[in-house]
Amino acid sequence: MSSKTPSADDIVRPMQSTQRWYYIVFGIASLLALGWFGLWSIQLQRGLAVTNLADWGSAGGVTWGLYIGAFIWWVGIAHGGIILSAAVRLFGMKRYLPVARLAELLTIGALSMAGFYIMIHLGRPDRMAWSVIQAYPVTVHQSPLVWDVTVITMYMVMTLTYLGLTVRYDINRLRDDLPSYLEPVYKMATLGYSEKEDEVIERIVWWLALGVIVMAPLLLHGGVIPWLFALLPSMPGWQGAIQGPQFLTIALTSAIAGVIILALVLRRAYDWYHILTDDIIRGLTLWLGLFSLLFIWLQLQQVITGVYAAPLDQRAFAHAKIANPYYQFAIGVVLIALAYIFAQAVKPHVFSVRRSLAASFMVLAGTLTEKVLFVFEGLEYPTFDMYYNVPGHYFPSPIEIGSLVGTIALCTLFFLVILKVIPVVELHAIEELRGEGHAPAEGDD
Amino acid sequence: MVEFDVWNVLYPGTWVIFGVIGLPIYTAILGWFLGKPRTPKKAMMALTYLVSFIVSMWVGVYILTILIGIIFPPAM
Amino acid sequence: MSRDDDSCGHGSCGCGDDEPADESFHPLGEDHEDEMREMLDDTEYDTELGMDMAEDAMKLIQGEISEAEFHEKYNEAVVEEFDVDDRPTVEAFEEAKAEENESIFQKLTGDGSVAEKLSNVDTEMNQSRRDTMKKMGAGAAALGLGGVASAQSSGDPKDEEYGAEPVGDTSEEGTQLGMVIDLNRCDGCLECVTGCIEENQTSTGANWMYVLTYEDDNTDQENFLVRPCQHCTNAPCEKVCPVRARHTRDKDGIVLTNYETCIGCRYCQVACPYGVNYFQWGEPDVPYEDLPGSENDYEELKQMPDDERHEQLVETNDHIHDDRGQWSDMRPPQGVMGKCTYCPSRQDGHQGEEKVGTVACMEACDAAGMSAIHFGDMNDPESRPQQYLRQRAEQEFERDTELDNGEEWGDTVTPWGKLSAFQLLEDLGTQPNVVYLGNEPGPDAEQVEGPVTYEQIGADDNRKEHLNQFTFGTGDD
Repeated sequence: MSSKTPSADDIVRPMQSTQRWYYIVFGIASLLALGWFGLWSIQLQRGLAVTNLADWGSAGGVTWGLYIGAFIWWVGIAHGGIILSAAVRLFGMKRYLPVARLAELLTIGALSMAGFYIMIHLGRPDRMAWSVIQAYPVTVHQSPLVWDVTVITMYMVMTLTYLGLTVRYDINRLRDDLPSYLEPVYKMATLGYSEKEDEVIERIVWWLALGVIVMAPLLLHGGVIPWLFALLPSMPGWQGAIQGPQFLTIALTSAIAGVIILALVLRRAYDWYHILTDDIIRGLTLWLGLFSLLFIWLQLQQVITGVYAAPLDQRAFAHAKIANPYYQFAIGVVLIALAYIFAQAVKPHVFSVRRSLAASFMVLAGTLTEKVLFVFEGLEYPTFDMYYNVPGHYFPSPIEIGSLVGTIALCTLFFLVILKVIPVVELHAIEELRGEGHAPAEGDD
Repeated sequence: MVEFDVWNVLYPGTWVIFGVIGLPIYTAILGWFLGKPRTPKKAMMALTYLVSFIVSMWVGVYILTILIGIIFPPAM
Repeated sequence: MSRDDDSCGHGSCGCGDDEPADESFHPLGEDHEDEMREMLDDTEYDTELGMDMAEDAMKLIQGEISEAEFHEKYNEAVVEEFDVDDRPTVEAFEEAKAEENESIFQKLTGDGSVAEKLSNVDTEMNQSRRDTMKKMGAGAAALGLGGVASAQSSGDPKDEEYGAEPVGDTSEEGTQLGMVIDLNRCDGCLECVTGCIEENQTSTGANWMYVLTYEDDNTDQENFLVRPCQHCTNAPCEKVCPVRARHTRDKDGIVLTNYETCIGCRYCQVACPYGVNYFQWGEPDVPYEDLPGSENDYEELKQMPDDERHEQLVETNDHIHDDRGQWSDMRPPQGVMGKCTYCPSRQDGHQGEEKVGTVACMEACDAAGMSAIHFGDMNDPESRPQQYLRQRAEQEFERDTELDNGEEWGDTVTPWGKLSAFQLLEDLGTQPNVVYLGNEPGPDAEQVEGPVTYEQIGADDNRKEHLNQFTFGTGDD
C-alpha cells in the first residue's frame, strides 16, 4: 500500500519515459502479431480449408468454430468500458474513476479485435465492406448479422466519441508534459477547445453514457449477438430466450476480468499502486463474483431444462454439452474463481491481488471455452440429425489457435501505443483522489 | 393453423433497429441538443465526432478489403 | 384383369388378350364404345371423327404414334369441324416442324428428341398422358386443386436482380418451381447425385443432391430420403444473408446464391435446417476457365439489353449465368457458398429449349429408369409434379375403394387424402417446395450405408475427412 499522493506526473510518465520492459513486451507482441499475419496470409491464399472447419450435415464438420466463439468473447470483454463509465457517471461510483478510461480503451481494443475476427472468419473478406454496404438498406430489416454489424459499429463510435470528448480536458491541462512530436495529434484532438466547454462536455458524455448503458449490455451482447443464434430454426442448442441473458452475463464477467488484469498489469508497470488501489481491485473482484454467479445460474437453467424432459433434439445437445470435458473445465474454473471471491467476501484477509488476477484469468479462460463450445456444439447437434456424419466433429486448428494469440498480441500492441499518446487514467481521477473534487457530477438535468 | 406472419406486416429488423436499438441512440443525441442550457455548438461537435468516426471506420475497412483483394486474389 | 384396371393397352400389354383388331379399342369394352358413340351422336359434331380420334388417342397413349403425328393426322378435319385446332398436341406438332430447320442449339446439345416445356411426361409410365386424355374425353373434374397459375411474376423492375422478398406468402401466385419425389421408386442408385455432380462440377464432398439410406425404428425396410435443396418459400437462409447474395428469383421462386456478392460468412449454412449448403473451403476442383460460359463477363452481360443477353448466353451454351446475367449456376468460387440451384441455366434456355423445365438429377433418374424425381411448377396443376401427384393419388384411391365406403373422387376425397405425402421439417415453417411420397423419417431415423455407396460413384461422403488434408499445421499435409 502506497501512501504517495497521486499527481498529474504519474499519468504522464508513460509518455515521457520508456522502460526496458516496454521494449521487451513490444518486441514479443510484435513478433506474435507478425506470426499471426503470416498465418492469416496462408488462409487468405488457400481459403478457409486451412482451418478445421467443414460443412455440417453430410460433410461431418461444423461451419462456425473458434473464430466466431472468439468474436463473441472479445465483444464481451469490450463491455467493460461502458459498465465502468456508467458506474462512474450515471451511478456516481467515483471509486472506479481511476479505472474508467482504461476500461474504455479496452473497449476500443477489444471491439477492434472482434471486428478483425469477422474479417478473418469470412470466405471473401475482400468483399466485406462493399457487399454489406450496398445491401444495407434492405438487409437491415431482416438479417441478424446486419443488426450485429450496426450495433457494434454504434458501440464502437459512441465509445470513441466518449473518449474523444473526455480526453480534451486532459490534453489541454497536461499539454506541456505531453510529447511534442505528437503536437499535431493533440491540436486536432482539442480543436475548438475552451475551458468553458468542460461542464457542457460533462453533460454530453452523461447522455452518451446513458445511451450506451442501455444499448451495449441489453441490445448488443444481450441482444443482437445472442439473436444471431437464438432466432434460427435449425439448431436446438441455440434456441431460446435465455441466450440473451446468458450472453449478457458472459459480457459482464469477461469485461470485469479484463479490466482487473489490465489494471493490475499497468499499476505494476508504472508504479500506480496509489491510483489503481487495492480498494478498487477489491470492489471489481466483488462485481466479478456477482456476474460470475449470474453466469453459473443461467448455465444451470439451461442444463436443467435440457436434461429433464426436453424434446429429443434439445436433449441430445444438452447431454453432449454436460458430458464434454471442456465444458466441465469451463464451469469448473468459473466455480473456483467464485469460491475464492465468496471466501474473500466472508473473510477479507483471503483477498490478495494475485488471487484476483488468477481468478480473472480463469474466468476469461472459462468464458472463452464456453463460448467456443456453444458455437460449434450447437452445429454438431442440429434438428435434422439423420445424417451419419451428425454429430459432426471439430477441434480448433493451429491457425485458429494462432488467431487467439495474434489478437491478444495485437490488443497488447494497441495498449502499448496508446500509452504513449494519451493519459490512460483520467486527470479527473487524479483530482478526485487529491480531494480537489473536480470529478464529474451526475447529470444536472 | 395460424396463417398470420408478422413479416407480412413489418420486418423484424425495421422495428428492432429503428425502434428498439435506435431509442438509446436517439435519446443520447436528443439529450445533447435539447438538454438545458442549450449548447448547440458543442452538441454539433459531438455529433460530428460520431459521424466522422462512423465514416472513417468504414472507409478504413473498405480500403483494407480492397488491399486484401489485390494482394490475395481468390480463386474464381 | 379387373374392370377398373386401365393399365392394359389393348393389343400391347402382353396380358394375353389377343383380340383381333375389329374388337373394341376401348379398354372398357364394346359396351362403352357404343355408349361413347351414342353420346357423340347427341352432339352436333361428327361422330366418326370423334371415334377415330379416340382410337388414335389410345395409340398415342401406348406410344404407337407420336403427338406430332396425331396432331397432323386430324388437324385439317378438326379445323374444318371446329374452325380451330387447340389440342394440347399442337405444341409438339409445331416443334417438330421447327426441328426440320436445324438450329444451332440443336446441334450443340446433340439431342434430337422433341420435348415439351411443362408437360414433361414420365417416360416410364404413361399414366399422366392417360390422365390428360381422360380429362379431354370426360371433361375436367373438379379436383379441388389450387387455382390456375397466373402467367408471370410481378415484373417489378426492382426485383430484377434479387427477386421476391424472403417472406412466405409469395408462392400462391406465379411460378414456383419445386419437386415431387417418390421415395417408393427410389432405389438408392445415386444416379441423381452423379448427374448433379457432372452438371455442376462441384468439388469433392459437396453433394448438392444427396440420398440418405436410413433405418428407422418403426420399419424394417430399407428407406431412402432424397435430399436436394428444398427451395423454401419462407427460406431462413435468405432472411439471414447480410448481403442479399442468397435470394429468391422472382420469376420462378428458386433460391439462388449470387456468386458475385457472397462474402462467405456461412450464415445461410448455419440457418438452413436441412444441411443443403456446401461452402467452397478452398480452390474449386474445376478451374473457372473450364466452365461453359466463363468467357462471358458478368459485368458486360448485365449491361446488355435482355434479348441480346439471352442470345449471347444461349450461343455460348452458358451454364454459369442465369438470364439476368448473374453468376449463380454451377460450382461457386473460393470462399463462397453453393447449393442445389434447380439448374437455372437450364430453366432459362441456355442449354437448349428441350432442357427447360428439367434438372440434371431428374434427367439422370429418368435415364436410370426410376423417375422418382418430378420437377416443375408446383403452382401449375398441369405440371409434371402436380400431374404425378394426382395420378398417384388416384391410384391410391382406386386401390382403396375395395372398402367401398361411399367415398367419391373429387367430392369427399382430395388427391392428398390417400397419399402418404409429407414435407421435411414442416413444423419449422420454412415452407419447403419439395413434396415427398413415401414414409416420413421418424425422430430415430439414422442414415446407414446404402446399396450403392458414394465411393462407388466416385464421390466423397465425408467432406471433413477430405478437407483435413488442407488443414495447416496438423501434419496431414
